[in-house]
Amino acid sequence: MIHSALSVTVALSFLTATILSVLSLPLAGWIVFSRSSWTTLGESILTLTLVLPPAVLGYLLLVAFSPDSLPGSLMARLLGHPLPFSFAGLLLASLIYSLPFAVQPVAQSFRQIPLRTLEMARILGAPPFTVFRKIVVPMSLPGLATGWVLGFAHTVGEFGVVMMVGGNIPGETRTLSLKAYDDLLSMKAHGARDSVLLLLLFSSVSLVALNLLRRKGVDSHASDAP
Amino acid sequence: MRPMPLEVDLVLPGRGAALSGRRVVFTLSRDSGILGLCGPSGSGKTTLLRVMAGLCPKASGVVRVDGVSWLDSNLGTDLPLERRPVAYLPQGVSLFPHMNVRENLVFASRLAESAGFGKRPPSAGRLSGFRSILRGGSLPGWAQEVVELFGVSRLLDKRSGELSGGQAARIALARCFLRSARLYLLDEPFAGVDPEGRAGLGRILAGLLARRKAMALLVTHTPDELCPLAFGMVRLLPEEDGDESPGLPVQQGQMSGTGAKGLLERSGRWE
Repeated sequence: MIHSALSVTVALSFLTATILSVLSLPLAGWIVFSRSSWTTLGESILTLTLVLPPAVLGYLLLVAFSPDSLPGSLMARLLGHPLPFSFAGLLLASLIYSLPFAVQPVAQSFRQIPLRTLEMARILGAPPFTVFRKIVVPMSLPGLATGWVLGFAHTVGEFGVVMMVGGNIPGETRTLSLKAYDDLLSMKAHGARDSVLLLLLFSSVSLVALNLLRRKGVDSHASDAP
Repeated sequence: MRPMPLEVDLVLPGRGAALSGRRVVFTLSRDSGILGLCGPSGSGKTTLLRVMAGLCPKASGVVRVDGVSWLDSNLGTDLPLERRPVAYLPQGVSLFPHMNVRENLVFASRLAESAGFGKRPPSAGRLSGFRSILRGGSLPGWAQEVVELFGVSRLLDKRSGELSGGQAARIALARCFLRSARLYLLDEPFAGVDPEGRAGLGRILAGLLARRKAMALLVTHTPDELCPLAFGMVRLLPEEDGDESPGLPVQQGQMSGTGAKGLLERSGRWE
């Protein structure tokens, strides 16, 4: 039982973190480098899930995912089954819920790149996309890694959204945190303890990784000075 | 009549809010060579170079190269950096920290090639992209020549943090000259280089400019050193303190009084 909950959790968190890392590049690029005044609105929507109660978000997502709604019916036709209470639905919900955690560190590293470095690339004749690909992204690798770890850790620990959108189906949408809750309710103390220990392990590994990344980031910035 | 190679008549925007219209006028009648630019700190040397490179949107006046207006605020012309045949070496430039020296130079040479400079092998559409992957991080032959000219071929595998100030300055110069331009704007390119090295670098620069039929505007704090190389010197005078008391924001309208604080002085030929 714990194996299936573990594999669902790891698969969900890995996919969420990886997809978000890819998405964070254009999103953070737009927030940091676009001169459009829409970026403020975009950034607010992006960080909305930070302050929204998970139950509210879960409810809203359920409504949006339901086959009665337009986006839900489109997705259902695409996938061949309705989104709620499926792994695909759970993944989509996690992507939305963990988005700010993966994007903010990347945006932060984009902001830390000195303007004169970007200007230098432009002076050498680099078009904007080349500057992004060859200068901005390679210089933001610690931020990307931090975003991945945060997205992963945050998805591992999520509870409310997973509960509402996933429906706690063993082997498909039951994650470790849901299993810990279930086991506790049904008085299976050992099962709950194992899940909690695994969750603790994930959190501590993430913390160590984040600290290592931060130190690395500091080092690379210290060596920037010529 | 042949157009003047370089005509500059600018009102420099001041720093920050203090828009003190300072006028700079000079022309260059020779087709190639080095024109020195000196003046005390804060006299607007870097601003002048940035305006000429097209990096300063607040500039007003005229910059004309070979009769082509790069900037003419009366006509509303202001070519962006990308459309000016100009190469700019900012002061105290650092190399891209995530690349080693070779990668820095390869990056610049690829960009120069895509702008149509250098002897690019005849490319056959899709194959050329594949070939450039095969070539990997190697410098094309024409770029290798520039690198050897500046004497930095031994440093190619170093990281930017491992270089001395003088070495970094040479590499930045080499990287700047990978770009083909009509006008090179060099902001203290010899900073950190020892005196013997400076003289050598100056000769290399003069030779390269003569071969490329290009002009350079070179900022220096030691005009005497530049005498044997430059054929003229533009001296910016220090900003006069006076009417506006410091700390008070100056209204933008006040800058229309162009030339109120003139600062042009163009010396003749230096022998």
